[in-house]
Amino acid sequence: MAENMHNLWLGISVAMQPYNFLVAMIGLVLGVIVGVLPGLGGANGVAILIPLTVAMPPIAGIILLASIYWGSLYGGSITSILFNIPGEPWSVAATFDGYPMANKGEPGRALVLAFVSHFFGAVLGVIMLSFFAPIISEFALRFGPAEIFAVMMLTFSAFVGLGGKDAVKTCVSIFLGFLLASVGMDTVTGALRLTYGSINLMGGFNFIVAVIGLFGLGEIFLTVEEGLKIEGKGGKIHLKDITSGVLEVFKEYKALILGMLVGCWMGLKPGGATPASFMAYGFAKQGSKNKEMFGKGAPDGIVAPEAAAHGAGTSAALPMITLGIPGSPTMAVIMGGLMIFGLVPGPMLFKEHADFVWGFIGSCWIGNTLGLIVVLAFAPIFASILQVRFAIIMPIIVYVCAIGAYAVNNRLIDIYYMIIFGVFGYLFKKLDYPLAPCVLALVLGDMAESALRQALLISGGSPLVLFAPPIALPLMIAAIIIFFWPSISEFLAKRKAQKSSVGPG
Amino acid sequence: MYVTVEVGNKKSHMGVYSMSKRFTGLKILMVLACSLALVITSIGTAKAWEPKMPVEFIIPAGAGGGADVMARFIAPIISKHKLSPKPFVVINKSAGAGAEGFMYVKGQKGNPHVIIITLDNLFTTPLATGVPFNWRDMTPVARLALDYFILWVNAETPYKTPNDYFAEVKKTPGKFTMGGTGAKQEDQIITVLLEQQFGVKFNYVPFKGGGAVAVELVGKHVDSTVNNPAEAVSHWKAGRLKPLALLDHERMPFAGWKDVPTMKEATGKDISYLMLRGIFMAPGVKQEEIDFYVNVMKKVTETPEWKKYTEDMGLKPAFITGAEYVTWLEAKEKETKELMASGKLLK
Amino acid sequence: MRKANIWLAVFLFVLGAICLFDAVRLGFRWDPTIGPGPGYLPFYLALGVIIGTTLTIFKGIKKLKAEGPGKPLIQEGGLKPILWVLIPSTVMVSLIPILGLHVSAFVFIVFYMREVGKIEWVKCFMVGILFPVSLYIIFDRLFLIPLPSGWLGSLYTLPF
Repeated sequence: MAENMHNLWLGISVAMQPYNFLVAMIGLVLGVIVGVLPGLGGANGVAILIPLTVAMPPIAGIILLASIYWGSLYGGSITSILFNIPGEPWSVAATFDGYPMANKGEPGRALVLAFVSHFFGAVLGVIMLSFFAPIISEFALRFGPAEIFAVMMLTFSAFVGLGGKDAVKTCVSIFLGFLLASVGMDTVTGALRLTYGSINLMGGFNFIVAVIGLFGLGEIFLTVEEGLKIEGKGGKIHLKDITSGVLEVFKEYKALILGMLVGCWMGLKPGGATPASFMAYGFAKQGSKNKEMFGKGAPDGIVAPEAAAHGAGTSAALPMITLGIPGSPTMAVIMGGLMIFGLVPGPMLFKEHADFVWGFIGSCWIGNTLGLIVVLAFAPIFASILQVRFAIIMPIIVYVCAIGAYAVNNRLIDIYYMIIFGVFGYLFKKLDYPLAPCVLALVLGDMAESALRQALLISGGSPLVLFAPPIALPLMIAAIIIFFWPSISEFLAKRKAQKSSVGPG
Repeated sequence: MYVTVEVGNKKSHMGVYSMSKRFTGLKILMVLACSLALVITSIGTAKAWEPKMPVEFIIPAGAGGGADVMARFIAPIISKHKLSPKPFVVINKSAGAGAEGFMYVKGQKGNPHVIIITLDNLFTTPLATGVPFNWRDMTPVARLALDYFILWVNAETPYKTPNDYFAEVKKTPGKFTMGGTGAKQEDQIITVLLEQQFGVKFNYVPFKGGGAVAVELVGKHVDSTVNNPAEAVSHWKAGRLKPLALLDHERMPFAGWKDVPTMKEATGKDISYLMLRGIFMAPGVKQEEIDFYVNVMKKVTETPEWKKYTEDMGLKPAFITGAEYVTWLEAKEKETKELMASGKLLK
Repeated sequence: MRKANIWLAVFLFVLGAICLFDAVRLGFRWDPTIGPGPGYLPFYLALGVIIGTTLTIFKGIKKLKAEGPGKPLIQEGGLKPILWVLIPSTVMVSLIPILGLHVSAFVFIVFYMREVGKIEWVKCFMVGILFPVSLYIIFDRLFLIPLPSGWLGSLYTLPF
């Protein structure tokens, strides 16, 4: 531990060198831009800048790449909150309560809550990275396909309470999400599914494209129909609002801690940030006292998923550094960057290139702290966007969304998909098909199915593998309990009511 | 360049000769001939063909994989050493195991500003999916390098040689799992090759990326893998994995890797399977355009950065081009097809 | 609203049926040694969609007969603004293969600001030029993501 503290101090001082500090600043600002623009995620941003870093010293290069990543994590929730358009998959959960809160005229409050929660998620992630990396990576190794499937089940069960009024329509919506996810090439057999011979369908439906359409464009249609304009809702943000935002995050400490823990745990396995944010949101809702406020701008509905998203994004660095498995798409690209520098991530990186690893960890501390300052400084500007007239902002939103949809895969067809998804987003919302479960199924469907089938392949078809102790079993039991929790708690409440009416009377 | 010369000449000549109208027709002809000669000589003296706009560098695979890393490594080398007047812009088109990228290049007939980096999915993707594509639909430029495969097991297992391991596998056919990247792609083909050669039967489990496969092996979720050297080297050095044999005729020429025996040394069976890292262009391009890219790629492979990179990643330096490359591609395609047929992996 | 409900369900029913068709082709058996085949989940999902939408259709028809069509899907006076967003957006998107993304966005922004916002021409042009140019710089130049340029091709590159 003492040695770690010493190394960490060295790392931070490397990250604080003027040149590295400047590089981090540039990276953060670029990252926020990348995060704000939907479709241009951290992965693209990093991949595109890798060529630039080749001319830099490796440590400055990695600081630049990592800073873009931190910036994009912070920036992703901005458009979710302001326009209901998630810039990144893990900021979808930020739309559930962030957008309603902004819509009520408090975009500044929503943004500050989100940013501060992000920071706390990052802090736990970086602490894990600094002090417990070797132990935790051992734990991460024990997660095989069966364990991942159990985690997916837990995420779905956490979300069970988020359906709409009509149970049949909720189911249809979930099924549609899964079906959309299965279009394209099947990972396990290599078969082409639901493509009907079309090259365009082979690529499947990208999650970001679907979400930009369903949430973003759909919401624009709803807004114009009601004659409401997305304008004039943004109040000014004063310094006071920022401090009160920080305090409010502490008031929601339960949701915050929940988000931090769920995030940092989920980030250890590939693709963790998105399920983490959904899971944290689901749990926060089920555990909250003011459940009925969720979906209408509940502060804990912002805090939990945001802390989880950034926590997962940060802890994703841990398996990348220690095992060479990237915990997120962006980490995969950063790993590619490391290889170009001649640094092969994995268990030997800590031993062979300690100076480099600690420089990177030091920059995680500096980058996330600086990032918070940068986004808080920009928050008033972001919030004031909502004061611009609708006739100006609407075409720009559609334009930026079109760029985003295109940039995900460099495909023109995705822009058409986006418009079609927009129409369906509107119809679904009007006719009571809940969108959130559909989107959750779309983003996790492929991962859950692959994990299930890989587990069954390994076990030779025996479903018992899904309940294998010591990890999968408790997770599955927890998933089942949480799935039935609404009915259980109802039952318990009834019994309690009966008892109390029988008891003293 | 020569266009302006041509226009300038015409104008000045026209001015001088326009007085004598009788000879106008002839004069114009002469002028035209002169300018044509000028054009031809200017082509001759000017540099060979060069790209006039940014070159699209297509990757038929996702971000973060081996081909992606290589393309993103090559692009900056080209600009750093000023090998091309226009930049190479890297674009991922990974849908359908790369089918999207191949179909895109196939459709860019005659466009000299598109190149694509390929791996073995050049052969496996059309064979496994039935996508109407063949490598002959593109113009071969050069083979840059070849990627090795090694048979790995967890370091805690008692197997010392491939024979030890295969003997165990034989006892319970289909029980031992072989982890690999993707379905009906190179890792599964190698599994088929091993099954054929050693009379064993594996249970092949596909995962999404090579790095993830190595970690599944470290975590003992699978029994063996055929990872590329770069994907598993760190776990090997950390004492978690051990290499049983290299799938090539000779040992790897790099310092850290010389101790890994070949299949021939370890089992007596001379088995080799190497993966292509090569470059193609769109169909119907001119020879001078091909020459430009051949030249650029040749220079790339001669840079010190490339030498260090191939050593770090454990790649076999194997630059070939022209007819030699085509012959190699034909042989490789035949081999892939036969193995896929015997493993029932064909569409 | 109730009619639209039925029609959407019918549409989703057809979608489910199309998926079911392909799932059967892929093979939807649960193999005892390898678990579910490639068509297994799509098959049951498509089946679920078909059953769910059938229920919705029947419930919808019953309700339609009992209580009449109910409120219209789009509230009064709502259709026009929606079309004012949908049609220009669609036109912009279909112009992309011809004009390229940035130029068609310029047309779209100027048109919408002028026609819907009744904003003075100068401002329309300012916004219409400023945004495409800056986004061009960010994407095409800074991040080297070539956005579609349509028939204008290489004419598209700005002189810097």
